[in-house]
Amino acid sequence: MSTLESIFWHVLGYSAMPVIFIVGFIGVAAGSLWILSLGVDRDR
Amino acid sequence: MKLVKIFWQRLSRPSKAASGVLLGLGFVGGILFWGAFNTGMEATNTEAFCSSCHAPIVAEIRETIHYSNRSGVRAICSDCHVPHEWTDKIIRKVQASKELVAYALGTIGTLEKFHARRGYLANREWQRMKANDSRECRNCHDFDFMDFSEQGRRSVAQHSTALASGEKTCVDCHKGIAHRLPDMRDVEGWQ
Repeated sequence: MSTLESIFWHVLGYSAMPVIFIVGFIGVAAGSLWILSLGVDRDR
Repeated sequence: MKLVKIFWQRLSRPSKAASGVLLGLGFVGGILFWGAFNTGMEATNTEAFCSSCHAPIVAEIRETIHYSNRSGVRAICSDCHVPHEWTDKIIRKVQASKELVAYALGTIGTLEKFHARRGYLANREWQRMKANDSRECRNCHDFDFMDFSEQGRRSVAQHSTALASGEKTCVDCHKGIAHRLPDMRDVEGWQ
C-alpha cells in the first residue's frame, strides 16, 4: 500500500468513528421521539 | 429537508415525559445501538463471512497448523487479518469497505480470477503486516516468551538476531504459513 493510500484510509477510518457515534445518536433520538410521540407527546 | 426541520424542532422542544423516561430511552437506545453495532462487527469477523468471497483461500488453512494442532487452539481469518485493537479495527473495516466494490464487480468472482489476483492480494497483506510489525502475529506469539531451547537451530539463529533487533518482522520469513504461496518470483528474499 502506498503512503498516500495509507493516509487516505487512516483519515477515512478515523473520520468513521465520530460519524458512527453521531449516526447512533440520531438513530436513538429518532427512535425515542417516535416512542414519545405515541404516548405523552402525541399532540406535539 | 422538511423532515430534518421537523426532527430538529422535536429535538429542541422539551418533551412532556419525565426526565427519568427520557434518560431511560437514551440508556436503552444506547445499549441497543452499541449491541447492534458490535454484532455487525462480529458478524463481519466470522469465517463464514470471509468465505463468502475468499472461499478457496479459507479452505487452505485446514491443512495448516493454525487450523489443526496438538493443543486444539486455532486461528480464524480475522485473528490474523483484522486488528484486535478497536481503533485499528475500525480503520481496517473502513478500508475493507472498498472490497465491497470488488465483490460487486466480481473481481475474484471465479476461481480463475482469484488465482490470477492471488499474488496481488498476498502482497498487499504482506505489506500491511510488515508495516505494522506483524501486529496480528504478535497477538498470540510473544517474542519475550519464546523458549529458544525448544526451537530449531535455524529458527534460533534468525529469532535471536534479525527478529530481536527489529531488523526483520515475522512475515518477512513466515509467508504462506496459513495459505499456499502465490508465484514468488518477484518477492524479495524468495528468489
